[in-house]
Amino acid sequence: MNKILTKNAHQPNLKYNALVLLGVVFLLAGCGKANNDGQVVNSSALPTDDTIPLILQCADIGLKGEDCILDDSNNPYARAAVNEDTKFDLDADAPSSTAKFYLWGTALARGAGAPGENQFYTALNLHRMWAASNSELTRLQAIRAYRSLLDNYFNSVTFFEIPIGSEKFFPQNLNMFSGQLLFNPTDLTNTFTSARLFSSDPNVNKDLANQEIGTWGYFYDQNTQQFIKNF
Amino acid sequence: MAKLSCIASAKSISSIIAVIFLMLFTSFSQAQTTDGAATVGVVPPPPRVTTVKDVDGWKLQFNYEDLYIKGVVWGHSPKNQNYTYNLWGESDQFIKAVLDHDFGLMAKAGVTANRAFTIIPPKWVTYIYQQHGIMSLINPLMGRYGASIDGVWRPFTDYSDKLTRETLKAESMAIVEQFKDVPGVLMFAFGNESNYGLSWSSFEIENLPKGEQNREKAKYLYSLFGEVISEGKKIAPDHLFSVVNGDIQYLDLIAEYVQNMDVLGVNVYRGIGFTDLWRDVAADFDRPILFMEFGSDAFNAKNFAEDEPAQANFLRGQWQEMYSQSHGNGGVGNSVGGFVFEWRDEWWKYKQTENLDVQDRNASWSNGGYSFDFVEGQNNMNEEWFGITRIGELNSQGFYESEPRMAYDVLSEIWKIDPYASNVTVINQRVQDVDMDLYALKGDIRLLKSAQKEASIFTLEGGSFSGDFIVNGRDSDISVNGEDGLVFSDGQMVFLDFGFEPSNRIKGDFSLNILGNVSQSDFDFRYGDRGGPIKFVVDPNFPRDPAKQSDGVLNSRDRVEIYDFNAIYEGDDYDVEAFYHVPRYHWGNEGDFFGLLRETTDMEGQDIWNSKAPYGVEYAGKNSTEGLKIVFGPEVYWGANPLVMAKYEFDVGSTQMAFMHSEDIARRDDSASSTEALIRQSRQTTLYGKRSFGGGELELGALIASTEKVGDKYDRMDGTNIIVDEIEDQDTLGFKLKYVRNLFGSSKAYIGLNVAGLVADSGNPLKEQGTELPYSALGNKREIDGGIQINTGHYSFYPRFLVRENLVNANPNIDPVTTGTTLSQGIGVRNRDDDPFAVLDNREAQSAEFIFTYDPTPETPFYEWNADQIEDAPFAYNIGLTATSYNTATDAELVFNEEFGVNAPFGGGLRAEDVYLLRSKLFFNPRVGLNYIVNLRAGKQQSTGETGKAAVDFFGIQGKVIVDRKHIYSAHVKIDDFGAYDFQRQFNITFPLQLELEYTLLLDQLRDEKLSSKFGVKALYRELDAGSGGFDPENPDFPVSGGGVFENGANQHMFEVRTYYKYSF
Repeated sequence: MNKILTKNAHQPNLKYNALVLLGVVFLLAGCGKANNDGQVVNSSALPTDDTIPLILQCADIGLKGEDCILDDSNNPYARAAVNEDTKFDLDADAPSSTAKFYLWGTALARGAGAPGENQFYTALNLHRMWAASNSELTRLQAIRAYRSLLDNYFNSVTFFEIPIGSEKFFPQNLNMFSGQLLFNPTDLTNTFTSARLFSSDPNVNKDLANQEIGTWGYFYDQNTQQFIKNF
Repeated sequence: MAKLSCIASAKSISSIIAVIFLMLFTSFSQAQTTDGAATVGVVPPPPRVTTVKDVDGWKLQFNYEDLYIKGVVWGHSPKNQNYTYNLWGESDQFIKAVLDHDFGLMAKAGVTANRAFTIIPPKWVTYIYQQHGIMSLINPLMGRYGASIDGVWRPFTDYSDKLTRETLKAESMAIVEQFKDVPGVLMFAFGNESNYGLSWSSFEIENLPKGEQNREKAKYLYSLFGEVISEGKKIAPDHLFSVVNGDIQYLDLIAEYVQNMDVLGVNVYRGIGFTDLWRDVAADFDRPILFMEFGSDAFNAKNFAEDEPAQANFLRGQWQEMYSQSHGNGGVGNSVGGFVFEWRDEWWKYKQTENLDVQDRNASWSNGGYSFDFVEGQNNMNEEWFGITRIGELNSQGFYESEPRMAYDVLSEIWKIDPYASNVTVINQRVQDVDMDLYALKGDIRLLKSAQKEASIFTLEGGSFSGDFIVNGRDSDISVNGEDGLVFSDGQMVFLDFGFEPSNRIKGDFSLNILGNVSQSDFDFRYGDRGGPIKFVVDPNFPRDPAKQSDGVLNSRDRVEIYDFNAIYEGDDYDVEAFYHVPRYHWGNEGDFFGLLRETTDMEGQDIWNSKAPYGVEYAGKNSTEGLKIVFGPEVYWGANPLVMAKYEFDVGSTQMAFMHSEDIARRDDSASSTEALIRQSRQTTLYGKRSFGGGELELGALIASTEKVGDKYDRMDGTNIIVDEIEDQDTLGFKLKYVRNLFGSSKAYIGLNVAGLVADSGNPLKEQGTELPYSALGNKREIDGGIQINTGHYSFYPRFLVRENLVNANPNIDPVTTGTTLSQGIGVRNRDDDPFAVLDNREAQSAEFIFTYDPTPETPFYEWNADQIEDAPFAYNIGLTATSYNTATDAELVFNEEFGVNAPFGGGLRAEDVYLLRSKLFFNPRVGLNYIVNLRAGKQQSTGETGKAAVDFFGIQGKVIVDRKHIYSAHVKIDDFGAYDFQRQFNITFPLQLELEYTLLLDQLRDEKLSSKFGVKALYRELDAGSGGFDPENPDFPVSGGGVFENGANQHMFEVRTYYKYSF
């Protein structure tokens, strides 16, 4: 019952086939990367003036999950090899808090090493930039960056070398530092900043900080310097 | 129903493969018969079957007594098996049990002869005849579904080829010689609807119009039949000879070329009657007509339900007409009988390699002659439902019994009629007197009684209970604690398999997994580990509750889970299937040239990580939407992002084409294994065409991929300059070409070109014939590959090469430097998360490969995925060497960081290095029931992730001995090799020595290593060194060289002994 299908005869269209093949070869040959494309970016100038208010490339710049900092034309580190091995050296050599903000924001966006410390240092340098520029926008962004640390990297640590040069490190919890910077910023060792984000009055600053983090769902025990989640 | 195979073979490689195994069994049966015939009883002189013609027509006689063939087409395919199943490889005791059951039922019904697609070995032909009085038609298929010519399997037999003709003739004559004196042989018949399989091409024939092409090809076919019958008659002059033709097509050519044919054998599916067939044959080629196949399926495609009465009614009508056209009954008088297709259902016929445990209800071809379920434009022939018996329950002897349908009962009545002793009036009356209502009722009762489970909406179909005891020890523990350093644990696991069928069109199954204790292995990750103890560590900085500051162990509550699930709705115009963790195949042979839909069949590999792919829903169009498939779901293949993928196959002239689009709709948030990186959300579109070209086959494909990356920036080096560039439209394009052509003899050559823009990533390349060439799914390449497969006799030589260059090379690691207020940017290796592309396994390569294969049974493909189970050559082996020069370094691989739920890049790339892999596989099957399988591997290979490490030189041998398909002994020795898991190679974790010994005893008749009840013991041993760090199950830190299980030298050995059992029910 299997009828054999018959179709009109036709001669193989060799010209057509050859044309198709040639077209394909042409397309293949045309595919590739021209060597004269692109822009040379061997070096870039680092920002040195922290008094210039920060221009936000996007609303959530410097926060976890937003990588617009990599497209920010003001970011000198956007294309630099920022990674776990280089970020602290670059930090040490960066000439301004603004440069360091871009550095750590880049590290955060790229996932260069431990993300908690990337978020912390991004927040810290926003904090410092506000201290220099008095820009309200920068202040609010710094506060949001600290919150991002608590929300996303509550138990993250960074490592400090003691004594300096011994190549032995101890972990230090970052939310403890965050609490200090939000509630009672001091900078005896010139490591962080002493600028108060909420009020120049220390007590008012603590109260306002307490109100603020309460809306985030946290409680900060100023005696033990411990954050406690309320959720 | 060979017609199905004919049709399917044009579309599906699987059906071609199917018949390879028919040939396998042919070869096997030949091998079995060297001492066969003399083993059963006293051999009487072979009785003769002859033809007689007088004025009343034709008839057959057996030892001068009239014979009307009341036959069936017999085969034995158990559930869960397909064409690869070889009954003749079982023990004699088992074979006898099966034959006694099936042929006992046949004899009871009045069957006088059988026809089988696998040649029954001589001693069993005699056994069937002597024990049950049923004769066997010996039916060499003569290349109908492909042939091994000069050691190469050719799926489409070219009957015009001289070597092919000589080979087929020699094989056929060997069979005639073998069977000529065997008691129980009915006659010889050659081919099977071979006139439907004239698929080969040649320059001469291709220049003819299509219709004439087939006619010209048919001349070669029939002239070969004529020659074979002439030769056969010289060898066995006392036997009748026939061919199996598809209906009476080319009857004029048969008359011209096969005049020496004694009986005209035809497969006829014209419905309940045979129209003018009798007169047409009498007029054009006057021979007695023997139906080699005819019948009806027992499934009503219109009602979508089993329809025993329809089948029985059709068979009754067919036999009535056959009787009326037999000798002396007033008709043409040329009917001498027939073989009903078929004795028992076969559950592998639809798709052939899939759903083998399910009786598929898809109709695969259309036939208007079967009016009870014919609807214009829809298929109505259900290949898996043609049996006059169905596959019943597994009995205590280990085989599935045949369970009669109504047709069996009706035929039992009809076969009581002797057409030569009756006249047509009597015949018609007796046929009409068959009480169809009674037998319908009997069938219903039988169905209700014995298939009650199948008829239920929800059933417990089976399951298993398994358990194990593990003893493991580490050098460090034992040296300190002595015997107390040993750790004991035990585990129990239950699987329950359920089926459901709420309506005729919906059915499915699922399995539940239940854990008791979970044994703790120091070597392996295993399914069930989800229920193991969970260790927790209190953060010393932030104790939530100071009263609970100690670390501890929790028992996981994850004890019960759905292991897998599958449900299908079978509609008239489409099927919809929901799948969850059941094996699924790629679309590589149906237009997916770029491999977008990856195969997910490694269920054991997934179970290690408790992954549950594939997970999704597939829509498959029928009739007007034939060729359309849409699949979507959370993980449609292992590691996939949630996506939707559509494919449409269509023809443009003689070009087969396919259009595909795949769109990720989200990004996974968890690794598919433990460390496999998450992949970015993306999309791909492809267009594919295949056609004959220049005497070969040309495949072309175009790809557009990752268009979402257009505009993304990336860095590259140009001399000493660092360049920032961005992805452009052209970087998303890819083109691929493959051309395959037969060369001299049985050899063939291929050439492939693949050019892909920077982000033109595709899917898994289809790797065949055991190649280890470094193909890659990623873009950023210009690639050429090729090879020549030279076949001579049983030997195959296959040199191949692959050369690839990148459009943009990997980046070096140059640290940025700050000088005052100037930042020298530096540059770093890319990774596929932070950069639009990275140079990884698509790195520049010059690779050459040579594979030598010796396989005297090419019908059982050496490189088939289940070769360990099916390869039956007395001795077969291969040796393969692949050498690759990687002249450039790579960018950085990614690894999934479970703690943070993100990918993390390795610090650098793999270095430029030359590597090689030498391997060999050997099969040694000295007798039925004794199988040796050996695998050897040696080489120098790189890690797949860890940067800066030198390639590893390693050696390994693995062996398995299977005795009587019951006792399985296996062992492996690996020296300086990577560990068994992907992550171990990813992190360059090696062991100086790995040993494994195992014995398994299969306890039931299934004799399947995976499915059977069994008992076993397995011993594992490892030597450790500084390279053996890594994921220590006891200390799952990130791998640190020298750390992990090596414990910085404190632990230099570890071992484990595992005793296990499994009871399947």
